[in-house]
Amino acid sequence: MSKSSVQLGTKPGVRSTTRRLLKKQGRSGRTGYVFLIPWFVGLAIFTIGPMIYSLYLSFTRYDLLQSPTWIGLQNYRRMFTSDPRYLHSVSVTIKYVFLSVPIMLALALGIAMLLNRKRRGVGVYRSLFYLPSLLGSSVAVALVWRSMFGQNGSLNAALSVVGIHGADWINSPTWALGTIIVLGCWQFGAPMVIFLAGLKQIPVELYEAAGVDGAGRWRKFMHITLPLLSPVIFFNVLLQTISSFQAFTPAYIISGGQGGPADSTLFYTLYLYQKGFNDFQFGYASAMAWVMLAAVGIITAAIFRFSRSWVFYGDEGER
Amino acid sequence: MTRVKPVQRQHVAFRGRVRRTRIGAVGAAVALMLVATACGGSSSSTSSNGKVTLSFAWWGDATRAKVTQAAINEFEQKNPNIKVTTEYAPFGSYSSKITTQIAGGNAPDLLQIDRGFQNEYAGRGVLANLSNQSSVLKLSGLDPNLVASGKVSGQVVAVPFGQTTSTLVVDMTKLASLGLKPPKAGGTWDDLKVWAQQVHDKSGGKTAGIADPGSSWGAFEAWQFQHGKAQYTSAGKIAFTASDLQDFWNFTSDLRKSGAATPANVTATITGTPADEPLAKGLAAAEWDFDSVFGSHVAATTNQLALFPLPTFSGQTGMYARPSMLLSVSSKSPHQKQAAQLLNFLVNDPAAAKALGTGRGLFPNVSVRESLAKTAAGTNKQVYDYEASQQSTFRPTPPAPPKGDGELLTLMQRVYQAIAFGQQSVNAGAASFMSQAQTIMNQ
Repeated sequence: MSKSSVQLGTKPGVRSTTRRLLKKQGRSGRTGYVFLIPWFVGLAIFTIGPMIYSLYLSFTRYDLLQSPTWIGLQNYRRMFTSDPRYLHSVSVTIKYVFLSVPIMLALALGIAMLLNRKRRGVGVYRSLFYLPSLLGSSVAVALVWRSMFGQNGSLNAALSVVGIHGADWINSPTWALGTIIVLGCWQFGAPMVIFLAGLKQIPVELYEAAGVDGAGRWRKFMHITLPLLSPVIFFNVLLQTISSFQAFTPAYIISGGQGGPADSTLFYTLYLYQKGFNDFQFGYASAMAWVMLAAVGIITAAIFRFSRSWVFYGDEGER
Repeated sequence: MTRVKPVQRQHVAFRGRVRRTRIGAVGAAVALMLVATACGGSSSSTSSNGKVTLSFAWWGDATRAKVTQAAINEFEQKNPNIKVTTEYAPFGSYSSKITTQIAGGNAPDLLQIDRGFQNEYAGRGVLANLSNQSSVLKLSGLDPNLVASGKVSGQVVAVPFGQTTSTLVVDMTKLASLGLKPPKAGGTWDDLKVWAQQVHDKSGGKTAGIADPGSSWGAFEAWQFQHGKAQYTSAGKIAFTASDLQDFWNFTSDLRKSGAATPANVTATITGTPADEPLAKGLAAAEWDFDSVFGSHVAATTNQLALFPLPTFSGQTGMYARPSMLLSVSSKSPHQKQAAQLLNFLVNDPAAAKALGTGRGLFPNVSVRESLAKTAAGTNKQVYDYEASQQSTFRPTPPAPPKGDGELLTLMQRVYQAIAFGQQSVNAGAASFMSQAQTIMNQ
C-alpha cells in the first residue's frame, strides 16, 4: 500500500482497474469500428462518392457516352430561366405533396383511432390496412392502378352499375394527377401504425377526467388527443413530406414514362429521369437532383422550425 | 509505477494475444466479405472452349420477339460456336435502356437502332465502323438506296434491318359492320375527312374514322413531302416552319373536333404498342403507322385488317422506302466479327427471312425478298402486295435525320396533346414547338 494511494483515498488496485476498464472500453470500441468498416466502405463508395460525382456533373454537360465538359452554372441558370417544363414539374410535385400528405395523414389518424379498440378481429383489420403500404410503391400495383382507372377499367365498370359515366381517369389531364394522389393516399398503413402506437401512449385517465368535466368527443379529440399526439404527427408529416417529394414509380408507370397526358403528371423526379435518360443530359439532371436536395432540406428545416409552436413533448412543462 | 507481478504479466501477454487474434479474425472476416461480394457472376463472354456469347437487343412486342428468336435459333444451328442472348423492350423505353447499358459498359454486341437515333449514336462514337467487317458482312445484295442511309461520313455504321413505308391500317371487319367501304386509294385528305366523318356518324359516335394523326411525327413528315417541303434540309437543319405545323394541326384539329378523329384522351394511348392503341380497341377504324408494325396490329385484334396508302395532296403520297430499323454493332464490343456475322445472317440469309417474315418490314436482301414474296401467305402476303403496289409512287429516300430527331418525335406528342386537350391554341403550340425544337437541335 503506497502512500499515494492512501492519500488519494482509493483502494489498492482501483486506479489500475479503472484504467483497465477504460482500456477495455477502448478495445471494444475499436472492435466495433472494425466491424463497421464494410458499412463505411459501402457508404463511401455507393453513397458519398456518387453524390460528389453528381455535384461535379451538375456543373458540366454530360451525355453519358462521351466525357463531361465543364460549363459552370449554366445548368442552374437554364433551369430557372429558360425551361418552362421544369417550373411546371415543380408545380405538379408541389400540388402532389400538398394534396396527398394531409389527406393521407388524416386518413391514417382516422383509421388508427377507429382501430384503437379492443374489439374482436381488430388485429386482422390492422394488418389489412397496413398491407397496401408494403406493396404500394411497386411497379405491379401501379400497373394494376393504371388498368383499373382507365376508361374501360373496373372503376368505371362499377360506376356504370349505378348509372354514372366515368371519365377517363388516367388519360385526361384533369384527373391523371388525382389518380396518382389516390394511389399515394392508399398507402396510409405505415403512418397509421405509428399513430396507433402514439394513441396507445395517451393515458386513458385523461379522457375519463375530461368526460367527467363534461367534454364531448370533439373536445376530447382537440384538447387531449391532438396535443399529446403532436410529436407523432410531426414525425409523420416530416417523413411523408420527404418521401412524397421523391415519388417516382407511380408517375412513371401510370403515365408510361411520358409525364402525360399533356405533362399533367410530370413529377420532378420523372422530369429528371427524362432529361437524364431520354435526352442524354446528365449534367442538367444532376443539377436538378441537387436543387431538389436543397429544396427538401429547406422545407425540412422549415417544418422543424414551425414545429416549435405546435408540438408538445409532454415533459417540458409550460409552453 | 506499479510493479507488474509475473502472473499479471502473463495475463497481460495472454490478453494481448487474445486481442491480436480477435482483431486478426475480424480483419480476415472483413476481407473475406469484400472478396465474396466482388466475386459476383463473372461475365466473360468467351469460355475456354472458344464459344462466343453475343448479346442482341431490339425493341418490339412479344409477336416480334417470337419471330426474332426463331431466326436466332437458325443462326445458332448454323454457327455452333456462337451463342446469342437476347433482350427486348417496348419502343418508348428502349433508347434510355440502351443508353444506360452503353454508359455502364454493357452495351449489347448487336443492337437494333431507330433511324432517328442513328446520327445521335454515331456522333457519340457508340457504333462500330462496319466497313471493316466486309469479309463477313456482304451488303451487295441490299437495296443501295437503303444501304446509303446507314452511312455516316462514308462509313457504314448501320445496316437496314427491314424496309417499310407509311400506311393506313384499316379495320375491315368494323367497316363491314357499319356498312361502309374503305377509303379510296389515291383519295385526298379531304376525301379522308369525309370518309372518317361517315364512320363516326354511322357508329353513333362510338368509333372515330381515324386515330388522330396530329401527334405523329411520321405523318407530319409525309404531309411536308406532299406539300413539296421537308422536315430537314440536306445539311441537317430544321426545314419546317411554324406555319407548316399550324396547317397540319389545324387540319387534324378539325378532324378531332368533328369526331372524325379520336378524342384527345384516346389519342394519348398511342405509344407504339398496337395492343394498347385505338385501332385494336375498336375506337378507330383506321390508324396511321408503318407497314412493318402491321403484324403486331393483326395480332392485337380478331378483326380483319388491311393496308391502304396515305391520302394525297396534289397527287403525292409522300411515301418512300424507309429503313424500318437498322442494326449496328457496338464500338466497344469484344466480338465485332461475330456480331457482324450475325448481322450478315439476319439481313441476307433465306432462313432468317423465312423466320422473320414481315415482322420488321420487307427483308433487306432484295433477291431473297422477291423469292419469299412469291410464297408468302396471310399477313406477310398483304405487306408484300401493298409494297409492290405502292413501289412506283415512292419518292427518293431522304438521308437519315440529324441528331435530335428522336426527341422531336416525343416533343410532337407532347405539344399536340396540350393542343388536343385544349390547354393551348394551335398557334401557341406551333410557336412552342419551334422554340423547343431549336433548343433540342442546338444541343
